[in-house]
Amino acid sequence: MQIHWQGHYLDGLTAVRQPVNIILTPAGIQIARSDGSILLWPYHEISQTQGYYAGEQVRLERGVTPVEALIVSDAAFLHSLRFMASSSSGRFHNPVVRKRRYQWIALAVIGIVAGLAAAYIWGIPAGARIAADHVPPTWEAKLGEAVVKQLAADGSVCTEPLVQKPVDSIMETLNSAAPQHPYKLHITVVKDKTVNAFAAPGGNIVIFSGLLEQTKSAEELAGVLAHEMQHVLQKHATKGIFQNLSITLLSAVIIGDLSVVGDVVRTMGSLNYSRSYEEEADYKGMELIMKAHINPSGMINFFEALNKKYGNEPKLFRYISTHPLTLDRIQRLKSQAKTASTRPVLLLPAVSWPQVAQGCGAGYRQKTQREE
Amino acid sequence: MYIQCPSCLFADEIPESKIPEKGGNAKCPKCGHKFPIKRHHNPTPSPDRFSEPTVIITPEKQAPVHQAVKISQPAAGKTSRASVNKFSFHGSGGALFGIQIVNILLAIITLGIYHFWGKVRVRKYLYSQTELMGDRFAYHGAGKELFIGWLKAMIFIIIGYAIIFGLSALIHPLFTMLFYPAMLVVIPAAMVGAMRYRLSRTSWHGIRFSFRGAFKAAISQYAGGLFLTAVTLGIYYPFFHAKMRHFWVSNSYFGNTQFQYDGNGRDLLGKFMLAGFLTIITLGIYWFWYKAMVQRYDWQHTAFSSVRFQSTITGGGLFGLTLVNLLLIVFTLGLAFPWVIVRSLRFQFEHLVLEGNVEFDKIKQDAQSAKATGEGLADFLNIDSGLV
Repeated sequence: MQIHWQGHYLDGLTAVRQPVNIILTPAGIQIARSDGSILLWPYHEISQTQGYYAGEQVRLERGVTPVEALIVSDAAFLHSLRFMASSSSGRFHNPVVRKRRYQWIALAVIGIVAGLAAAYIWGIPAGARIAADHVPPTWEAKLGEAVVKQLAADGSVCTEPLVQKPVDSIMETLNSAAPQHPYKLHITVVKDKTVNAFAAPGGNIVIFSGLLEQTKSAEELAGVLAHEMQHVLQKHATKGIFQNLSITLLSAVIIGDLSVVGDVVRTMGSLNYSRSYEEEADYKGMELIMKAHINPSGMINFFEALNKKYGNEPKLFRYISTHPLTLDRIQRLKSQAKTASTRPVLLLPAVSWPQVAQGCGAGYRQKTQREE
Repeated sequence: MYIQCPSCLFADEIPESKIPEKGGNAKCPKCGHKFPIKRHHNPTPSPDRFSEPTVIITPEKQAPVHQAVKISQPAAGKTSRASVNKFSFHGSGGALFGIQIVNILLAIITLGIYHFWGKVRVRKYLYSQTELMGDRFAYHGAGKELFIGWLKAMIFIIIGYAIIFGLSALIHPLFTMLFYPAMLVVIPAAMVGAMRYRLSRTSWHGIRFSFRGAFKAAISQYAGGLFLTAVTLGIYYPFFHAKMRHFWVSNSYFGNTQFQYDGNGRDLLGKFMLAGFLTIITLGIYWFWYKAMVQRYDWQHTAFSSVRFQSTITGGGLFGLTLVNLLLIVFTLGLAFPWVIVRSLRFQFEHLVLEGNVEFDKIKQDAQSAKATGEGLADFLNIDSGLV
């Protein structure tokens, strides 16, 4: 074992780096300086601050203001030091453990991948569900009101009773078939040429007159309403907020301050989640349609027609971009519709539907004129 | 004789006989900057020091560690010719990856709290791997103080938001506009706080660095500079840059020794205007060349004790570094991030030298205390005050 070493000593008072001779003794480290003076550092007063990784020098420190430092560039010094320090050897790094780091790293990689996958697949959706269940419906309603206010600006709401009455009546039919829920459902028809509909949290469903014009029967509108209604009942918007929040927090923890990457991850994540919500709203919506004895072909036909008409231009028509009308989605609805056990009853046999569908058309024309 | 314009760094070879024996003034043919020149002591032309920074080597180079048995003090500052001291970075991406991956796992397990201790581990590693004149840098920060600093910063931000939103909700919505002037104060204040903390926790040769710039000065310079830059449609920007750089550098201390910055916005103005034009034409690529020029300029105008920095960074080098880093990140989905850090640090240090002899015996310990709140705030605002 080597007891004599060479190193550098910093007294913590000036920046002079003094070359010194080092002798390891049972009592401590003996440091012989150039002026002939000898320092003795008892092992239990020393702490190691550098020399834990390959390429580092061994740096030992002693005392509080001024902190003296002793630097030895050869990592083999640690072996001798640990041997001589005997009972205090735990204060110094053992280079042997460096090999074990690879195992830790491998374990960490597996742990992170497994942990993140579990969090993404189960943890986040479950957490969001629990959190959303604890949000009172009145809060959701308030949030929904704010959203609707933004979209349905003054004067753009269609109040035509010729439209509102049959639409409300369809909603009522659906609602009476739905299980008990705390929401006050309300439909707002907005004069807007985009083919879109959405459900704000808390029970406010907004239908654009552009979408209404595309429906050929009450059953077709019922399909859209059933779908949107399930977004409300399943608290999808509220869950989405919690999911976005938790994905943001999770990615912030992982990547520290790389905020841009966090945003990308969150966007990708929320897209995926919203797709599973769409599927749930489809499935439960169709369930509701059948329970209310409404002909399920209406919902299927409408989605199919939209897909045919606008499937190739998803960005222009927002209903398609937020509600991807993929063929397999329609296929799933079809096979679900086959399980219907009762014969459907016509929804509004006495109403001429084309009149309802075009009922807000005047408003639509008015709007386009204003735009010119 | 080889001479170089201190302003635009244009260099040329001129016969020494053209210079008056007692020295004279030269006018740069490129930027028009006037500067004093003297005849060299040695008549032979010295090669371009930017491409070969190790040309001038003093006989008093530090003795290698293992020959240090016969002990003698290097005769610091007594020679007329300066020595060139290179930075070197010894770290590896693999080791850093190991540290960071374990940090991430522990951060997930502890719901993010370990982040601060992890940050300390990363910094300790990076500092310990950085060498200058035989000695490594050392980081003395602690996870606990970073965590407390972050908590304080969070409370500060929450209170700030509460006041602004409270005012706008209760009195008038226009109070939300307070956010912008508030940021003009908070950003420079956070930068000063972060700088104070970070330098106070950094040492070299056993001596702590410190930052002693005042919050007030930072805020007025920052807000004033931004205002003038906006008013002059950006023309003021080089002056703003030089002034801020002056503020950061000349308030930095190594022990009791102050750093100096003698750059001036005037020197950068022409280049900046040209860069603005060329950057548009080259779809942004020229900006790397401008940035490299500014870095060379800034370092060349930075000094402490009797030494001056020199940087040999080139636009091409910077462009290559950035491009490869970007590709590494994209194709490994971010996994190569530790390698990117190591590559960038190595690049910076490879191109940075210290010319002259440090008078180590004259540098005395003069540590300043600093809290980590500013660091936490800078973390929140995602700003980096980093010199180097």
